[in-house]
Parts: sequence; C-alpha cells; structure tokens
Amino acid sequence: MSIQIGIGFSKDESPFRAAQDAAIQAKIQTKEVPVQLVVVFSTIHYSRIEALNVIKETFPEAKIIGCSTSGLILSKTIETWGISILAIGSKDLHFGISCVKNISKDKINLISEELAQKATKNFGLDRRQVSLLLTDGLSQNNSLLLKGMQKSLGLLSPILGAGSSDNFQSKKTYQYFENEVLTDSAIAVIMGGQIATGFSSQHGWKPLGKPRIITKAKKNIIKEINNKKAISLYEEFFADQAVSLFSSRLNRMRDFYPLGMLIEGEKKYLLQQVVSVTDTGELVCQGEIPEGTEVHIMIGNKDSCRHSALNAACEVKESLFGRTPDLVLVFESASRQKLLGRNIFQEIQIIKEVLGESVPIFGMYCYGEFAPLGTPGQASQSFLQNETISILAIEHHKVY
Amino acid sequence: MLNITSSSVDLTFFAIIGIAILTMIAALVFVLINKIDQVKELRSALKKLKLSFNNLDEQAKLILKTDLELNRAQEELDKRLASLDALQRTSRLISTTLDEAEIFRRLDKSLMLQLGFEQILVFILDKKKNLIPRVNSGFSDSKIQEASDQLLKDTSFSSLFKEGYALSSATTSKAKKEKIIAFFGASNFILSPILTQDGTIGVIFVGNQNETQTMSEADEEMISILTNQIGQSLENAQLFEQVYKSRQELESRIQERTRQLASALEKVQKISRTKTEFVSAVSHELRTPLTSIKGYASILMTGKLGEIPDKVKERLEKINKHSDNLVELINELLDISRIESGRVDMKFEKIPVKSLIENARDLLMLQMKEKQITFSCEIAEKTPNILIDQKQIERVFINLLSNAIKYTPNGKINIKASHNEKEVLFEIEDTGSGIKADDLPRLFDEFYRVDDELNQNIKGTGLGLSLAKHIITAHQGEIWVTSEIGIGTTFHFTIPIDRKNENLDQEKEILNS
Repeated sequence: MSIQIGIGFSKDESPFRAAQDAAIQAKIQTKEVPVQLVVVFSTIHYSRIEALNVIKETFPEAKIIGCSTSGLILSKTIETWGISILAIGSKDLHFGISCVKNISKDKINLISEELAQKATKNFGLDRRQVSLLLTDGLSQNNSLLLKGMQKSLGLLSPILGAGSSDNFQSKKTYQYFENEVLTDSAIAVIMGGQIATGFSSQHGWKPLGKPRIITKAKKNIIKEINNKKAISLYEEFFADQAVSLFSSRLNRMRDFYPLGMLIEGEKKYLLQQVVSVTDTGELVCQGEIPEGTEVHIMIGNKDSCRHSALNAACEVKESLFGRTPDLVLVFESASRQKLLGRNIFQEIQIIKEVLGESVPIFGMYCYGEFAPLGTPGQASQSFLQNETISILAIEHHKVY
Repeated sequence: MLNITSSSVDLTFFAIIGIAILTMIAALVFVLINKIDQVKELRSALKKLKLSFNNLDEQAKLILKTDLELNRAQEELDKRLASLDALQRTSRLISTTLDEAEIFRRLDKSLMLQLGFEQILVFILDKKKNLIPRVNSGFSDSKIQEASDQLLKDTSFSSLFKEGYALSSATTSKAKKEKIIAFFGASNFILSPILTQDGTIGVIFVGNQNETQTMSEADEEMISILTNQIGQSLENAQLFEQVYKSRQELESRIQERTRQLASALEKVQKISRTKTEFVSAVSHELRTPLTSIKGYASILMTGKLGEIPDKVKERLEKINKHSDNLVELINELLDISRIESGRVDMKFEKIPVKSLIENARDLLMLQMKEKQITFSCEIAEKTPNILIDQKQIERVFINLLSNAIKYTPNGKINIKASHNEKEVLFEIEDTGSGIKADDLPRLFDEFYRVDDELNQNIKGTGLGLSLAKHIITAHQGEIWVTSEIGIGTTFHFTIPIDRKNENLDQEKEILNS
C-alpha cells in the first residue's frame, strides 16, 4: 500500500470556511485512507482556533501539527494569504508528535529533552527515520532547543524543520498542535516506517572579503570580531549606513548580507542572519555562535538562489537513487521569499523539473531552517540555518 | 725541544681549529645573510598578501555597496512590476463588466493583496450624501460606521470630497495621518476619492497594518489610476443602466403600440372582410335584376313586343349600354372580392411570356388600329416560362393595355419583358399624356380615378388597376407605375419565375387572409 497524500488550499476570507475548504480538498485526495498526520501551514490571518477545530472535525483520527508562515509553498503556486493543509495516510508510516511551551524561558535543555522524550513515547518502538521540528521563529533559544533534541534522539535520524514566521512583521508567530493555537512553543514529529528519505539544505551565498575571527561570543550573540566590537565588521563594509540598515523596518542587512561561518568538520558555510544589533554594537543572531569561528560577510542573488535550489533538488534525487518521491516538503527562508520577489515560483519549478512534475510539494517560508549541512548517509548534525532552502523528500519504500 | 715541538703541535691544532671556526662562522654568516634575505622576501610576500587581502576587502566593500543599491532598486522594481501587473488585471476585470455590483465584487481580497494591500474599504456616496460601504476586507461593521461618520463630519477631509485630493501615510500631514490611523486602524494607508465627471462619488481606502509595508508615491499613483478606473467603470455601468432602462421602456412602448396596431389591423381586416362580403353580396343581388333589365331592354329593342319609336329605341340602347357598364363594374367588383377572400381557384401553369403578350395584343389590336397606335414588343432572349394562372395574368395585360390605349391616341405602346434569376419584369410603356406625380400613389386604390379634363371624357370603373394589383399580389409579384407629364406612363410588374411549395402555401395564406 502506498502513501496517500492530500493537499488542500483556500484563501476564503473566513478562517473557518478556508480551513474547511482546504481540509475537504485534502480529505478527498486521500481516497478514504485513514489519515495519520495533518500538517497545517497558514498566514497569521488564519491562526484561529476555529480553523483548527474544523480541521480536527474533518480528520478526527489524525495527529495535527503546523505553524504560521509568511508564505505557503504549493505544487502550483506560492501564496501569501491563506491556509494549506497536508494530509498523509499510509499503513506503512508511523508518526509520533509532541509539543512544549514557553521555549524562550530558561531551562531549555530540560524543555528540549521533554520534547524529544514525549515524541519518542508517542512514536513507539519503530525505527526512527527522520524528525521534524517546528518552533516559534522569533525565539532565540531555537538553536539550543535543536541541540538538546538532537542530544536525546541521536545523530542517526536527521532533524529538519523550521521556525514559524509572520508576514515580515517579526511580532508574533503561531504553532498549531492538535486543536491548540500556541505561541512561544515547539512541536516535534518523529517519522518512521517503510519509507526512504532524501534531504538537502542549500543557500547559494558566497563569502566576500577577508575572513575574520569571532573573538568573543555568548550563545547567539557575537560580542567581538577580530577583538573589535562586532558591528565593526558591517561598519567596515557599509560605513555609517550599517546600523541604520539593521534598524530599518526592512532590515536589509538581515536578509541580504548574513554571516557565513565554517564549522569544524563541515564543508559548507553555515549562514546566520543578524536579527538585531544591541546598543553596544553586539550582533544578535538566531543560532548559537561558537567563539574562535572564522566568519565572512556573505553575498547572494536571485541566480545563486535558483542554483542552490537546483543543487538541493539534485542532491535529494541522488539520495533516492533517482526514484520519484511521494511527497516533497520544503522549508525555505522568508528572506529568500523577499529576495526572489516575483520570481519566487521559479525555485519550485526547478524542484519539480528535477524531482518530477507531478510530485506533491508542500512547504512554507520560515524564520530559520533546521537541517544538516550534509546529505543522507552521513551521520550529520542538524543546525539552525538561515537563508537556505531545505528539501525533505519522502518515498514509500517497501522493506521485505 | 719537546716543549717546542709540543707547542708547535698545539699552535697547528689551534690554527686548524681557528680556521675551522672561522670557516663555520663564515658559513653561518653566509647562511644568516641568506636567511635574512629569505625573511625579507617572505616579509615582502606577506606584505603583498596583506595588501591583496586588503584590496580584496576594499573591492568587497565596493561590491557590497553596489549590491545593496541594486537590491534596493530590484526590490522597488519587483514591487512596481507586481503592482502594475495586479493593477492591469484589476482594471481589466472591472472594466469588462457593466454591472455595478459586479464591479465591487471583483475588487476582492486577493487582487488587493497582489496590489500590496491587506485592507480595503470602498465607500460610495448615496443620494443623501451618506457613505455606503460597497467593498470591505479587514474591517468590522462598527469600524466602518465610525470611519464613515468621521470622514463626513471632520472638515479636515473636505479636500478629499470637494477637491478630489488623495491622502497617503507617506505624504499627508501628521495630524491628518493620526486621525486616519485612528479611524481605520492601519498604520500605512492611501485614502483616495473616486472621481467621475460629476465629481466625487465615493472614496477608497487601502492600507496595511504591517509597519514594514510603507506607502510610496508610486503606490499613490497606482491607487489614483485604480480609482479613476473604478470611477469610469461605475460611470459606464450607470450609463448602461440608463440606456438599458430606456431601451426597456422603449421596447415596452413598442410592444404596446404593436398591440394597438395589431388590434387596429384586426378591426380593419374585419371591416375589409365585411366590406368584401358586402360588395360580393350586393354585386350578386344587383347582377340578377340587372340581367333582367338588360334582357327586357334587349327584347324590347328587337321589336318583338311591338314597334318601338326611334326615341324609345335610342333610350333602350342607352339602357343596354349602361347596363353593360354596370355588369362590367359588378363583375370587376366580384373578381376583386373573390381574390381578396381567396375564393378564386388559381390554376398555375408554365406559360411562355411571348404567347401571353401576343394573346393580349391580339385581343386589343383592333382598338389600337382604330386609335392609330403603334404597338411594339421587346422580349429579352432566353426569357423563361413563368408559372402563372394564365387567365388572370392576361386580364392584367388587357387592363394595362386598355388603359394605355385609352390615354394614348396616335401614340406608341411598347411591352418589354426582361428577367433576372428570380423573376420576370414586364413594362408596358405608352406615349400618352402622363399622370401627375400626386396621383401616382393612389392609382391602385379602388374607385380612384384621376381627376382631370381628359379623364372626364374617358369612361372607367376605377377598379381595373386595383384588380390588376390584386392579381399580381396573388402571384407574389409587385406592381408599380412611373409617369411623366407629356412623355408617357409605364406600368411595371414582376412575376416570380418559379414558385416553391412553401411559396404556394404562403400564397394560399395571402389569398385566404
């Protein structure tokens, strides 16, 4: 028995009607196969309890997870307003889900451990193949949460996922768990069964100028680079425009010129956006920053974005030995959404060209992507990254 | 000696050692010098490398600054292109309908999102100058009420309605901006009047609660284009509505008038039928006693009932002659009424045109000779035979030729026959005195006779041409006349070459009606 995938979308004015429409569309496509997992992505306008209630009514047996986003990725379109629903039904698949709240508070180690343990318990004793993590994209503890979860689950099954986003306001994002609309929370999904997975995370950004060393850092805050206050890196390049560019509403620095770090043992640059600058010139990033790391200002453009999408899709195809997946999940940086503008769908078109025109694609634009820097086959650690396109392809693969 | 020898050995030894040391020192000095050179070279290379790195950094700075500018321009360009695309689609959508409600329905949320606005509110001024919401996305009823009340009450917004100026969060004064933010609850907005030739007919509000989505002058221009388009579309819709209503009214009037005319026609047809029946009945009733009168007059004239004086004979001849005239009149009246009432049994046959004309000519040749009239006939080559009731069409020829003879003393009469694919055209031309233009339209009316000196001396019933017209119409042809005073008169009539069954059916219908 194969995997039945149903994808629904609606942008009806009423969150209730939109959720109902999308849920029914997804339900019809699953051909009455019992749906085990429902993933809900929506723009913040649809982050309503009544929307989740109607989805739960439509899929009473299914586990429901999801989050808010600045854009919905679908096989045929990218939407900046609406609600999309993915329903997965298969007897050969197993899911374990869990949720933790107040992730921005202290004791993140305990919280992440709790998240992993609950999900493992919910999943059962089957072999874990891949895990998903959806967190509040505005939390500064996401990197530590990922680290803690990875510590509990081990490196054999990779963790992919995203930080929920809003419509570029960076005010409040939402996470959906069963019929609860949450904020400052994290949701984990462990996936296993008779499936093969392929994943890749690519950014396409290139280092610019000479390397600098992070000489002082704490958690996600870079205090000094080359023994000078951290902002001096950007000041050297943009002079007095630097601070204003960070503080402007559009935050172009965050979107266009992230920091690139070479992590020991990894071949690719790990990209970190500077979310804000403190009054004392410290750079606040989303992920954890290790001291002594070599750092560059990175540069990219539309073409490099498209090329990275192609590379990611090709890596995924290679991981699946050329087979066509049953489902493709895409977690892409909201900054890329902004950078690509009108050409945004070109990336999805590229993925379709590589992985198959008719393959169902479901995804979202996020504030931070969780993915390993390497590819399947390598027992690799997942990182909180920025400016990437992360692809997770799932293929039903009968094991005899 | 031994001491001398041992000291010599020592000296030699020390000399060798000294030389070796000196050699080593020299070698070391050489190596050192060499190393110093290498260090110098390395330092120089390092300096160059540092310079290259610094140059690379400087280049990177230039690249980043250029890239930042490019990104800004690209972002703005993308936004404009997306907006223009959405504007073009919106304009097309609203300009392709003439239904006012549909125009507002098409200004939906997704289009506004594509234009870059999350909120839209369209107010239209009603006859009492109240703002009526027609499109709403993102506002509660109470907020709409509050906004419309404030817009109408607050005099600082009079420029919006009176002068047609738009207000935008990018360009308007701080005080007005704060008021609008309070009314509509959106931090970035454009409030623009909807203008038509009659002035401001409403206002459109578009806005975003998202602080990052600021309004630019380009946004203002875009909304201005959109509101103009909405204004034009609404104006077109209103004009269409007016035209539609007028048309409906006109159609209703036409229908009423048609009903009246149909009713009148029915009455006329009824009267006509009654008249025909009356004429037919009276004619029948008149013909019987007339036949008796004529018979008795004839008997008296023979003298079988006794000798009659010449004066009486003369009177009897007059009775006989007038009786003949009266019989002719009654017969024609009866024929007309029969044709009108469909009681004539038409026998259609294919008849050659030539024989038709020759028969008529033969009948009237004597009269033409008496009046010294030159007769000629022109029949076009390959004129086809026509499907007619020969007897009836011959009557038409006789009627028209008789008329021509009456009014053409010492003149010429010519009959022409030509044809096209559908019909044969006959033309009977004479060189008579001609008919006044005023008389031509009534010439085929029953009992109509031209009132002139010449006609007073020529007797006639006034039914001949009417009868001819009835016969031609019954053959689905047409008859008309052209004339010029002093030149002559031409009667034209057409006969269809072929008659399909449906034509025959139609003809029956005509005859029956």
